[in-house]
Amino acid sequence: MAKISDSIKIRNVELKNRLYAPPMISNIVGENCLAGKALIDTTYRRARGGWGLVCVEGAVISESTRLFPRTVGIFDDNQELALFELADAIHSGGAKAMIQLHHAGRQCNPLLLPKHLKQEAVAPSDTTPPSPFPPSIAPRGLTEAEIWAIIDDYVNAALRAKRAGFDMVLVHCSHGFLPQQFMSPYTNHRNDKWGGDWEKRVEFIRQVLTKMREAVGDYPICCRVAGDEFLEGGYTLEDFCKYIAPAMEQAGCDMFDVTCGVWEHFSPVVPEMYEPRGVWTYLAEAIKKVVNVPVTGLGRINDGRLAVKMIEDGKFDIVGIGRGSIADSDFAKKTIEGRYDDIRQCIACNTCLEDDLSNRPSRCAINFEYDRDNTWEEERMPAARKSKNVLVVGGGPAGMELARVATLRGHKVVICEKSGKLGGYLNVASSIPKLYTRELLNIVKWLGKKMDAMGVTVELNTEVTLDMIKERKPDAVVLATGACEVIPDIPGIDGPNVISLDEFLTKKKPVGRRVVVLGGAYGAEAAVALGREGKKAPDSGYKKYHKPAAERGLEVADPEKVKEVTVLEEGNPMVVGWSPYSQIFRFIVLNEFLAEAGVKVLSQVKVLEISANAVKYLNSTGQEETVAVDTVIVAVGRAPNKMLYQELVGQGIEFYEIGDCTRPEKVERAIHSANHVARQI
Amino acid sequence: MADIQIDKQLCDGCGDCVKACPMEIFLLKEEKATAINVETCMDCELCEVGCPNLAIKVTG
Repeated sequence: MAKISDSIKIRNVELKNRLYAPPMISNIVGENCLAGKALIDTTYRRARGGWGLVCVEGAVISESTRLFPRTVGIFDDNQELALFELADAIHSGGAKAMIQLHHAGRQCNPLLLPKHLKQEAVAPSDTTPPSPFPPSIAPRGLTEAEIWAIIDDYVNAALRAKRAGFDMVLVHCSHGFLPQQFMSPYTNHRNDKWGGDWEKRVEFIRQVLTKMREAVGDYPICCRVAGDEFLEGGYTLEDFCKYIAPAMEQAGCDMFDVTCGVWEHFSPVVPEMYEPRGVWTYLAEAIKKVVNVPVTGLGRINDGRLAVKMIEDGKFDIVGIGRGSIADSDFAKKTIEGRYDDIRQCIACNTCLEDDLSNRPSRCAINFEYDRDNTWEEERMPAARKSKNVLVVGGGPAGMELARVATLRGHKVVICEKSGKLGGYLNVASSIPKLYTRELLNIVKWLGKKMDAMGVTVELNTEVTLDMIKERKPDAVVLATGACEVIPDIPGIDGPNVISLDEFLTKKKPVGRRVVVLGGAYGAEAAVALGREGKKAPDSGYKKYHKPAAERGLEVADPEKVKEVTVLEEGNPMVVGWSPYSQIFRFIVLNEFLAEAGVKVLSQVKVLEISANAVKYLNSTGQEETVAVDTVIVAVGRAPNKMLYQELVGQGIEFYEIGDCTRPEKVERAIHSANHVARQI
Repeated sequence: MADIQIDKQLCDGCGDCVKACPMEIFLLKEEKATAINVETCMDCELCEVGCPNLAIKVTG
């Protein structure tokens, strides 16, 4: 039986263990595609976390392809010095270094290309569907000569990687990038040497691997592949195992790094918290059975115990921890030492990716250090000049993180929490029935354990008043009082049939058969939960995406429990709403869930009046309509809790504000503002 | 270590927890869910959230 701490050989390179930190776009590279200090430091920080293998994110092999605005480049010999620094950082950390070679193909954003080049995306065929990313410009089909030029680019990139000191390369053939576009019947419509049947569609990757092997010799060439495209007209796991995997192995692929999906559906590529842990590992398990080289599996593995089990069960050879390695750089070390509860587990909020797509540095919601240079590392934090008594008002994520960091710097911290439990709003947000948002509690549990271990005094059921502050005389006060629900001024809002979202989630107030949720952007999770009432659980992603959209409805299990749910939303479209975890991704997925659960969503409406059994509203065309209702759930948003702030102003007391009480925002804001203030006190 | 309590009265043996648990902790015994090798539980609470009869409670 293989163990997670066992070494493993990829061609002629030996990894010290089975833990692998896969490539993820950090978006902090300079415009010139050269890695700067921040990326080198953050790579080094991860490498010394005990990983066997660390991979540098998508290095573009050609100047004429770009998906994210700031990626590493490997298309020019002058870039070798920066690449050497990255490889060196990984080796200094004790891991083996790999670099991902990337060509976006149709998913290139032509607007980001240098001005001297033609602003266009290329793809196997003229008829290839455009990129799912905006601006979605239709691609141009490649000519025979251009294909050979791209293969040359791949070969030269591999040579540069070898010269720069990387131990191996990873050809990016998944997530809908160029090699996968050639493999898939969805994107490859050619009828020549490069397309037409399976044998010809794999010709591109076969040529890439063969030519690369001729150039680099006995040097590991790995491939990141999509086990299943989850796309109508694309290839499935059976196709991959039968036609693609054997051909790639024969052409010299030394390791299969199994992911899945294309960006047409977000959730397979970066499964959000609603998917179960380890969701895509079955793909690697299936591919492991048909190839004889090492296979890595991944997909929302954020617990060391699960990683250990996957390897011990022999499902695959190496386990990839992507976002988990962002949330805790030391995941590998802690897993091998068996300190599972010490791992700061990823909450799968996708803040890291949302930042990439919004052209911001990719930051982690719960790990402040990630993607910054080493001056921000906790180990390098200067001790406080004077140890102060700090009073933190509110024991949510912001308050606890502040207490942790301030204690590290030598302050004495007391947290006063009004309710009987730590965690603040995350306790509410993580308690959605029939929808898995429990991951949000990971950070609460972890910080809670740190509070005990570090000796932070926590006073529960203690409401802080101005008099109390004056009596205790702390050196500094930190307000982390969070936000409270907004109740809009609508006639009938105080009726007995109206409850607030918090009351529904925390006090479990009963809900009638016909429910109206006021505010879809904020109440979408509750609407999904109610829509799923009395119905069978939805299929997990893989079954779902192989079904036509019309057949994705849920099967009724108990007709008596089924609820009629209507969402009334002022905005249009209800795409970006406030939530404690994610904004873009949450809505793409929740809109699918709402449709699947049969929830009626009315946007651009204005609610006029709530009566005992109906809600009157103006619809999107300005006409008055009513909807019959038994219970109304008010979910229009949250507003900062400023009561204590207003009292403290002008009292001559040193105080700071962090988290939701400045502005209701994501967990990211809570943790990051806490860190900034804790370093300042 | 987590503690998994299963209310045998509420459990109707649908097997959702068996499917939900990534650590394969549950088994159906005489048409009721039973937690074996609880020591591998990683406290993700997928079973608790997924149980249609509210029969499972994870504490720890």
